[in-house]
Amino acid sequence: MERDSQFWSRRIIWLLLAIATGIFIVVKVKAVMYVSRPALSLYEAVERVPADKIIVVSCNWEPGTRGENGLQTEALIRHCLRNGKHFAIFGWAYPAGPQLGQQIAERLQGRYHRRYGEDWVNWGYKTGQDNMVRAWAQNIPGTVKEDIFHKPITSYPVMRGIRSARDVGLILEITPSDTLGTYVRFVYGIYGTPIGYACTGVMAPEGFPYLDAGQIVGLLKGLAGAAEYEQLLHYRGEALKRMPAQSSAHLLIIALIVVGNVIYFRARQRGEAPGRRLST
Amino acid sequence: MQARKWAIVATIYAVSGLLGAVALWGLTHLLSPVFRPATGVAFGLAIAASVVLWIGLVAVIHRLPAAVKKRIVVTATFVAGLFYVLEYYLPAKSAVFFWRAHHTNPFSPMIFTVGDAVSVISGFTFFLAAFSLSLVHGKSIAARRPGYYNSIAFFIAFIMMAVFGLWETYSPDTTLIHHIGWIRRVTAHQVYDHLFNSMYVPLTATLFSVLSFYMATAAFRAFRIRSAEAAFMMVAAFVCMLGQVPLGMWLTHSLPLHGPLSHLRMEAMANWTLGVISMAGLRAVTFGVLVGALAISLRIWLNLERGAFFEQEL
Repeated sequence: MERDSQFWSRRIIWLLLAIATGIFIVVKVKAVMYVSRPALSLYEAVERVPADKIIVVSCNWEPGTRGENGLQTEALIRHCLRNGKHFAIFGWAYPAGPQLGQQIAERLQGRYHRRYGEDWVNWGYKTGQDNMVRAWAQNIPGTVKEDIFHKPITSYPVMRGIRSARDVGLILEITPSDTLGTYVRFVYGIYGTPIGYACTGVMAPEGFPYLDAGQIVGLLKGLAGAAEYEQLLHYRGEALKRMPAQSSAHLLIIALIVVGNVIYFRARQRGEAPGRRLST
Repeated sequence: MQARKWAIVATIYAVSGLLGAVALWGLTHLLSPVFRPATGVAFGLAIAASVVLWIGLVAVIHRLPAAVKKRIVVTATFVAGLFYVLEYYLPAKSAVFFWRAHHTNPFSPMIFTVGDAVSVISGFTFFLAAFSLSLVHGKSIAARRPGYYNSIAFFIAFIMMAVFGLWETYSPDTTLIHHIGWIRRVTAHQVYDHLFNSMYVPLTATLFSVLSFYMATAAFRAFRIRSAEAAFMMVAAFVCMLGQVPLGMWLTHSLPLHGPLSHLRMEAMANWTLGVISMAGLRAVTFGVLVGALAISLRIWLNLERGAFFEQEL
């Protein structure tokens, strides 16, 4: 009997979640985001990058987190392309990351009349993690060597004068993983290169100690962070469109927690559930 | 007696480490004129010579007694660790480096060469992963274990991605199908693109998305207020969840954006929870984790670690 109720309660919850998120594919709701200080700081940091320096868009994510990191990458690349900031897509945590970044940049470049090689470049994926980043910071052309089209990166105009991390104006670390520390230790710590952090919602708390210490200049928290950035760009993109669905999913989870606790307390009153643990 | 033993061990480590670091330094300078960028036939010959050299070296190492193999691993680990310790902790510029032109750290110029070597070694770990996966799934198919058909799917996906991935890299415009029925020209690039964008990307995204369904059921079934801590956690979770979404922001949108009352806005409370309360806890956790990581690193570096890493037959 109890197994049956568990079986059905699970399926009802899944159905409710599917409805709560899927309804916004049909019903269009205009979401307005309050822009948090960390997102605004990141936006201002991108604006401040001088023309002779390059921005590194570090795509350390894979398709699993495209819903969050993909939209953050899109908003950040859109900002770079719109303002004519030179940037390089790079990745060392997930092999698919730079390829996904390439797709986004290729899709957006035409809208802002930018060209590959002149305004941006893709350094591709590099193995070696911490040790590679350490070497990369010292000698970018020597470590990266070729772009994703197997051409020497020094052959592109956008790479003119880019030798080490000192020539990098900002690193935008977009990731669902614990990779920020590598850049903080080996790039910010040695060269003082500013770092911006765009992570999945669950990883956001890990970014706050770095933000508070001034080791990162700004922070985008998951889909909400991407939506805040779109708001800053005055552009209604996918992130802002998806926020109502996320709102309703959050609301459903809160309702489920409340309902679950009501059932638990009623069961406890009947003596069918374990009592209160003596703890404060 | 114990102190004397440790002093001897420390001296041996220091001397061998320094000798190793100096040897590495010397080798880098000695070999850099030999290892210059090569193209064409020279490049092919260099690759072939490297492969032959390394196969020979691995074969020789393989025939050595277990104790010698262990000593090689221990020494390599120690020298590699010592290089990074010396490079990172010694000052970038100091009068101690009197023989250098600008008194710079002599290990710093080598960081690029060593990093390059590490990238190459890391690249080989992909082969190791592919070999290990093939072994596990191959055994599963051979023994007809339950779910062995998943292993067949693995081999099909693995081979297709590897073949078309390489094909797309080196000859993307190769025509695979010229014209069959309603299918027009199909190139290697198109097949890879289809495999990546229409299969790999949605499959991975779906796998991650399914988690949200399990989170919803877990919230309903497991999030119980059994204690005061659980109650605090639930309040924090509610504030953070509502503070990230427009609906939560709308709930308190009538409060002013500035002034004392602005702190009661949902997004402000969420940011405060994350940026003050959560951060304090996380800092403590990170500190503890890093101290632990430092201890483990030291144990591995100095060969004090016991267990599977060094105890198994190599």
